[in-house]
Amino acid sequence: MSAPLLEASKLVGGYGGMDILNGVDIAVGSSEIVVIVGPNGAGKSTAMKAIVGLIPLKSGHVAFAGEDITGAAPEHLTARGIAYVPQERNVFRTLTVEENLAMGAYLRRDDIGPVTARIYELFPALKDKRRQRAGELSGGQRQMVAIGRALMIEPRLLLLDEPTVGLSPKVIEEIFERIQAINGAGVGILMVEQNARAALTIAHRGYVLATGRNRFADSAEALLANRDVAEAFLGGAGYGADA
Amino acid sequence: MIAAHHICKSFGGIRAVDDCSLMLERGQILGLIGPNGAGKTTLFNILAGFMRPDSGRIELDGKEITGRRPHELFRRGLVRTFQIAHELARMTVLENLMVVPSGQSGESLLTAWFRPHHVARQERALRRRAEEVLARLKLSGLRFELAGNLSGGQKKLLELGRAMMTDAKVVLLDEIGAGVNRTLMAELAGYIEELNRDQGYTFCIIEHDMDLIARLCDPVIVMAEGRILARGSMAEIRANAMVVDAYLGGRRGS
Repeated sequence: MSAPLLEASKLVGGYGGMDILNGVDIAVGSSEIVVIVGPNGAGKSTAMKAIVGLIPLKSGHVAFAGEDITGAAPEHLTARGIAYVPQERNVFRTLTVEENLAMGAYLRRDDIGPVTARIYELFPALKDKRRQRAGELSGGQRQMVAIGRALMIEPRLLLLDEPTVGLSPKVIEEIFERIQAINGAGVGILMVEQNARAALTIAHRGYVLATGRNRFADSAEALLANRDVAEAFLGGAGYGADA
Repeated sequence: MIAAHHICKSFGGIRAVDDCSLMLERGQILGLIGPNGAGKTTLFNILAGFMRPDSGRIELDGKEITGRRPHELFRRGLVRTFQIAHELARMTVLENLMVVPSGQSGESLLTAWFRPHHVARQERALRRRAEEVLARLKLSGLRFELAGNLSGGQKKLLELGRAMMTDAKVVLLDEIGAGVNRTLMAELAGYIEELNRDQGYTFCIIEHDMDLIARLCDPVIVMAEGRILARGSMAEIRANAMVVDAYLGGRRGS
């Protein structure tokens, strides 16, 4: 792993009285794609929310670029270069594509023309639809708007919570290709995925979480080759092998 | 079992469903696939009575049901799940399942007062059934948790569980796999096969997980831009260049 950009250690926390995380460790290097996989209710989304300050931690630490950011508010993290795309309700449905992107640049005071142009380069489909309301777009295009909006701050780290949920195979392929391109431009990526096998094929490393703890942490190749991981979490050895 | 003839539905100027006809025969597991925005969910909404078609005719067991309301269709044995889970957030997981079956004797004040033992017996039977469903979905440990506290994927599982609590003979499943762990999904595929084989359930499934579709469904219908693009076995569908182009894509999807 390259020098860790994000280092979350021994995260404990959850909602109300219930602990979902019971000591999760996650690190992401600045040039890495890292995937979190695991059963439903393992704490994958919760771990992400804890990292971006959306839920309070009972204990544990989060460091970003060497600086302690434990408990920092989401807006402060955005200013530091951490962007987060939640799983649901991640676009402003009544705003146009262009307005959605502009909302992502809320914190910026400089000219957002060049960065907007780069996002249209990354997602050409959005350029054609820039005056259309996000709520009228297909699922895949909406996801592109959500990712595009997150990129408007030119983040160093992008967190994606199930970016391909509910999308068709062809669109999943497209989204994963775009994620690789974003990573190629020097953005660290941390994503939760249930399309785990496909996600691991584009990732450098992966974590398997179960009941709020790290079960496995390894290179993506090693996880894909690990029979125990495949059986218990990826849908079996043969399942999805051609996907 | 279900026959839909020439269904059309427009929203504003957009033809969401454009002259679609399909037959779902008793004992089948029919797969409905296609790009996002192809009109699959709209077609489901029409079949299950959540929307009225602009034109076309739907029959269930030979009787016309076009425009019937969902609760009427539920009584006739047709039930659907939602892509976005519709859990009752302030009820427990167990309660979410136990409220599903209709015609519970405790619902009538009269029987609740005069035949309390009968009501209690029925409740116990329901509880047993709900526990079985929970065990299948691996949610037993969460039976007393409020449904609103479940994770996204767990809510999807509960959605499937609610369909399993009915004695429905036709179940329409709208993307139950999205957000569900693949290993659990493979097990649930086994559950769906069992219900189909042993208990006579007929299914129509919208799903983007092609492994799941390939394992469960025959025939498969592909929709694109409101129309039916192709139908056949999964092998035939995979070999169809139009489908690969519109939906499956080149590498990972094929």
